[in-house]
Amino acid sequence: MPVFDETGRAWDLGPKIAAGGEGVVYQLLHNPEYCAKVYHAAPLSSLKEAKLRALCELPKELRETLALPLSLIFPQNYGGQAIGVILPFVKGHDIFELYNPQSRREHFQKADFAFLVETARNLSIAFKVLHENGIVMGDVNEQNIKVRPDGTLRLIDCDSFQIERSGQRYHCNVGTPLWTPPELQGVSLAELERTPNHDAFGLAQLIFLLLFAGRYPFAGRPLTNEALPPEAAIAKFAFAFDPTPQERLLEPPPAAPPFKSLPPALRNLFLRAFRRGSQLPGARPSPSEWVTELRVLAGSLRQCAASSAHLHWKGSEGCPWCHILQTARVELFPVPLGAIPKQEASLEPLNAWVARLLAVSFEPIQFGLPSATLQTAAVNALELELKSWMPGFLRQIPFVQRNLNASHLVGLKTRLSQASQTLGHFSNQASTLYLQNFAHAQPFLKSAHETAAKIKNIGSPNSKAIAQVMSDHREQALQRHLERQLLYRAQVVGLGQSRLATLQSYHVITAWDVTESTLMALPGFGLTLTRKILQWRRLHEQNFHRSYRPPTSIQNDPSFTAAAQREAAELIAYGKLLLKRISEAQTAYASSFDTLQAAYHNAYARWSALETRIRQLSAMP
Amino acid sequence: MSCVILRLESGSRGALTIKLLMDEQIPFFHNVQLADNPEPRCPCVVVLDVSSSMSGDAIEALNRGVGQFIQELSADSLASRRVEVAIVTFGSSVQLAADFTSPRSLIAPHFAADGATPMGEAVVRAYSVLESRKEEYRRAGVSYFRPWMFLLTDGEPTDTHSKHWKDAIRLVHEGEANKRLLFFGVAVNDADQAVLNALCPPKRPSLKLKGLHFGELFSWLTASLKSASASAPGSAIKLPPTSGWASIEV
Repeated sequence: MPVFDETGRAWDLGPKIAAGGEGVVYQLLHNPEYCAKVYHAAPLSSLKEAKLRALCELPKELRETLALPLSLIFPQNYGGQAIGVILPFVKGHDIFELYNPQSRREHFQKADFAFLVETARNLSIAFKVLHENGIVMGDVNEQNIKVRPDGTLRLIDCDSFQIERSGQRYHCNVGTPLWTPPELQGVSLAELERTPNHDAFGLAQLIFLLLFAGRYPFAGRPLTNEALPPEAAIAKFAFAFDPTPQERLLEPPPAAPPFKSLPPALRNLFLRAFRRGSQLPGARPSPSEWVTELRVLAGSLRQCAASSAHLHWKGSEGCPWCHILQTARVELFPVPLGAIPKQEASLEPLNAWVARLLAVSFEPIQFGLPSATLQTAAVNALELELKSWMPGFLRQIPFVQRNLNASHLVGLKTRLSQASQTLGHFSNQASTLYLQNFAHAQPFLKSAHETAAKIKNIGSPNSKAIAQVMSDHREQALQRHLERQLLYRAQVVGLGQSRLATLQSYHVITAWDVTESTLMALPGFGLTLTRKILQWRRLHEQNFHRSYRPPTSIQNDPSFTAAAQREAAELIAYGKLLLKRISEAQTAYASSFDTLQAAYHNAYARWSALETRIRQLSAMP
Repeated sequence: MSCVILRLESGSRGALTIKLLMDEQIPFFHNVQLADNPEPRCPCVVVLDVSSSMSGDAIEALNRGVGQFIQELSADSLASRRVEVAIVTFGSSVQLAADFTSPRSLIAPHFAADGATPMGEAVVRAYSVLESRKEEYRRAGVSYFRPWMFLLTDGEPTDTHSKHWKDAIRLVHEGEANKRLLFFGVAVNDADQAVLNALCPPKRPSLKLKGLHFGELFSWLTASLKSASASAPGSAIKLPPTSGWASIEV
């Protein structure tokens, strides 16, 4: 189904790419760099049409930063009422796939902290460009910004931007509550003038998310009993990382980088953007201020001693990422999997490996028949031999010849049976040679098939990688369960407050800390008491095992993917070794066989010659 | 290095007890998922009737519907990082078929139909599972949108005379009134809608499923959860129309 642009040119709609609240986006069949957005409320109102036209006419330089529409589209080629627009098809991922640590591992493996700082700077530059051109984004949110693998970005959904053209202001009218500044929470957004100060809130929140590993500025541990969903926290200016807040409503979440891990100038920008008073016109930092401070930060990063993937501001007290790894056991910046060659770790070559390992075999070599020249030469040799034992003159006498021929024939037949036996021996020899060599190769062949089966298994319930992750999960769950069982609640006879104090001073506080060796080494803990305490721990272990349910699926667990890749690499390396050994065995077999083959050829030639001569003599009168 | 502060207190019977201060427990961080993915969560507990009356076509259609639900949610990147699903079933007993997890980490469980209909107990259990998860969110400093409880039944509750039923009604109504819960009740086949409506919040009575259109029902649930997790908790959420699967229009 074609649609037509303002020049009458036809564009063929392809499959649907996305469907949103406002309209549906389609691929364009012959123009993959573009797509078409058809609005649900088509045909469009004159106001909407005018706004879209204004967007099409914005300066070309803006197209690098904004995915501005190219043209309106119409159902027929003679114009009429527009139903949508042609937009550039922007490749890349939504910005939340970058700041969220879990999706960053999937889509931006190489992104380290420096990359995040750079993207934040590019984002600020984009907003600077917008505001310099009198455009206000209005509906800043996590799905309007597409980031490319190199950290550059482009703003999409431009039809909701607020622009001014020929004295007419086209409003934004929409907003996303999680991204709406405090002064606009609960306020009707229709026909409301949005200002760069409003945008500055969204920009600050995006930069915060990029620099603080996806933690939201207004999310934290509640300090009061009041339920504080995100938009309520925003409305109360409850910035969780504020070191000196007016009202103590939230404290920073446990596994978050400390606010102090950033330079003071940058911290001030965040405070200006989020504290009460930021709602006043021009109060929040402008994009240029962010560009400056982020450039300073980018130039003052240091690599942490513990991991090459950990980068942080050089003025921070210790590496924030190591701290989170130790306390929360979460690695926010894993070392990218460069060690395992990409090809070996992906799934497609795995299938090829399975095929190769299953196809390898060790076949016996068959004796090939000797060539014609060899046969003739043997016959000639035989003739010579026969001539040599009969004196020439006797051969001339016909009747002697006849008698001699008869006895000669008998002799030849004897020799033929001998030659047949020799050939038969060869056949045995060949079998023995094959079996000997096959016995060398057989264990490798067996391992090759087993390895192929294991490679096929990666990802299935009985693979080593899954077993590893399941066992880790169970172990961690057991640890968490036992860490919740406090000794002071144990009610073990003989475990009074003085002994509890002793335990506590040796850091034995929970069931997890209890081990036989630790207890026996403590003063005042005899065999009986130790046994009772261990029994208490065992009871809780049994409770755990009874109620533990393993995770139903962990395909998307990052530790599983890493374990699976390691397993794949190991199996492929082993497979390569096996194929090498099998090939070596095949070479050794082939060379022994060559020797045997040459001997066989000679023996066969003699046999064949004998057979021919016998037939010749039998045919004579 | 975290430290523990202990204090000796005089208890009720004169016995000395040791009280742990500072968050009342040693502050270990249990939930790695909440640190790895700090997006605000939208927890949804699906409470499913798997009593013997559901056997045959109904339970098969339900299994397919749940599978489709998990698949559709997983397909949307943002929703799959915000929506968390738990499944509670009730039949011969009340089971937590799946504790809260992201849709991408969940394989559709396969349900078999058996037993009576302890609906009250199931709702109470689902509520406590929700409360535990909310506590984990609070401890991890992760925000959450208003939780959803979605109940599907084809009969009448067999525990209306028990304490569970009264507790269930109280929890649902209070939760809705305080805007801490969003409850949807759906009746299938011969379900007793009058009794179900006693459980449902007054301003949102139960809806009846057309035939066994679980597919459409779960697609609606996915779409609703998507818009709930992208917009504001508490304020009015625009839900898609239920005409695709409900006999009565909302």
